[in-house]
Amino acid sequence: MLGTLHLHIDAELPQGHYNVQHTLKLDDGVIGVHGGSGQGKTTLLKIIAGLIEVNPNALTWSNSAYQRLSPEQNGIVYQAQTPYLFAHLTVIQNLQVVLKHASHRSLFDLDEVINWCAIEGLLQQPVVTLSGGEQQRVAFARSLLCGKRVILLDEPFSAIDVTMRQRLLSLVLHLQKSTPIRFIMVSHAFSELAFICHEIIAISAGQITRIGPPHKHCAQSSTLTLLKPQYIPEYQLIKWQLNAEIDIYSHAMNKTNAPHTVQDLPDQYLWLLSSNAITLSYEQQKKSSILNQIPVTVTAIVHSSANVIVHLNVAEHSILVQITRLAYENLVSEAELEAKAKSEQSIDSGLGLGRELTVGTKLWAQLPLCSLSAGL
Amino acid sequence: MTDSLFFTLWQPLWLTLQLALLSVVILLLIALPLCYWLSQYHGRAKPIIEATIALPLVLPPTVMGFYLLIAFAPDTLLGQSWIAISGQPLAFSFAGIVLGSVIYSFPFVVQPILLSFQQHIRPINQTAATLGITWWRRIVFILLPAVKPALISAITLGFAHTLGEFGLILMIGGNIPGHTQVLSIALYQSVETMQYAQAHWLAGILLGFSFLILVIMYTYNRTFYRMQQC
Repeated sequence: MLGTLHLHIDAELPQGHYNVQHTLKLDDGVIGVHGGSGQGKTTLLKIIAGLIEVNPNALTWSNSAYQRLSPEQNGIVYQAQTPYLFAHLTVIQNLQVVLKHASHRSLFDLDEVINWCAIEGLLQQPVVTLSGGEQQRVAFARSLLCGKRVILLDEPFSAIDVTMRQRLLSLVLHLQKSTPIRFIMVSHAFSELAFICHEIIAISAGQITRIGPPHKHCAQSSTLTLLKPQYIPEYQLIKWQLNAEIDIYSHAMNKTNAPHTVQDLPDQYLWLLSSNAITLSYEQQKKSSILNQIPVTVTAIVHSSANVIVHLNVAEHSILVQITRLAYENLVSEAELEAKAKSEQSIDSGLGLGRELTVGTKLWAQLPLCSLSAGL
Repeated sequence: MTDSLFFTLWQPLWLTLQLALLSVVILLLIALPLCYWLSQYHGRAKPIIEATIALPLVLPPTVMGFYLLIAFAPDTLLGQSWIAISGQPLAFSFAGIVLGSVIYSFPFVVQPILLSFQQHIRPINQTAATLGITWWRRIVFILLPAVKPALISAITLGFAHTLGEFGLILMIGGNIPGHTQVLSIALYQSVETMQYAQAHWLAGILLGFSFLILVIMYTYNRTFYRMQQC
């Protein structure tokens, strides 16, 4: 157990004033750092790694073994966005030199790390011939092999294609859960952090602007927090719970030769929904191929010249749906026609006195199949 | 080749090789720590230090020889300490011409190493430190192998440049066979005394030797860079 790291950073740096006061609970889950370019994400990682010196006692660990050690002793490795590989060596030599000369003992075998990072084909190449994405994979393998327990990743997979990125993100999640390795990851891609992080720190101009689990950071957009994944091998789908009554289906992740399989899914997943990928109807669509269909309640309707934005509430989540004005009018007139027909049938029953689309109306929303790599 | 000609050629050649080897070893011992420090030093005195190192590139060797003779004259403090250490005055001694060569070839050894250190030290130190590799292991197992082409350039340039030294050695060491008469000076004397056969041999040896050394250096560096760019 590494315990917690208390940050009391208050320093004048060349980029400006830097002030971060927070406690990082590294054992709880991957910690994400989010923010725009030049806002101080990299600076935070470098301060934690001991590569930028700031005020004394800026970092205090609950575990005293980590207190005030030099960068080579402190048990924290920093991996830069454009990693510096030793250019005079081949890929395999870059890994071997670290295994041989680093002061900490690696928790992993060389072969298993090579397999995880899918760099078997690159081993004999001089590193100057590698592409940016290949360099990032080799650097990640090197960070895993150096034996340090806290790995600080600075945009580690930014140059890597989606499939491989998803695989490496799952690997990070798997290692955080099942080994003593702890991760702090910087990214400007929120979806990447939402996929694996337990807590996200948003930084702007050297200050923390928001801290919390991923869904706290997207109050303005449509998100659904999916829980309790269950793999259905027959269909190669994953069934998640939105709440006790509502299920949501997603694609299974790509099969890899890494140790993480569908069993290593995140406990929960923050699904960022695109507001124009949702359709609405009055009735549940029964004769349809749609898998994800959820009951919703209208909370607001906002008209603009071309579109109508309908705010909806479902299981304590709020989502936005953007439909065109034509589609909105079709939906409303459909409702009126139906209401009229019903009222003619049951003219004396006093039921079905027309359904209009207003706040409080109950609708059904049809959602696309969830994809875990969406937005990565 | 007659025995006497062989002897007159061998003695200056052997002396020259000794001088060049010894100078290169001393130069490396000074240049490596100096470059390690200077590549990370960014103070105001940096241009002055760099200019001092580069001076032998532009000054006539006779100017340096003149100042060395004045500074190490037996009646000065520096001269007396030199005598106390080496047991003889600077002028007309082998130790004297070694000191002269070290100063004269200094920029040729320092500059390739300094350039390469400036390029590599910062990223290697930061990366290797955060990976948990201690300072001396970083230097021995990562930095020095990374700057190997620069080291080879420095060694060959320092060696070749010492072979071609003339003015400074003539000023400090004079022309004493077996002590200070190196190849270039033996050649000068042969021409002065119109012994052209000997002069041809001496000039030929110097030319061939210098050419060979440079070919070796460029071949090595070419294969190194090609390996990196393949």
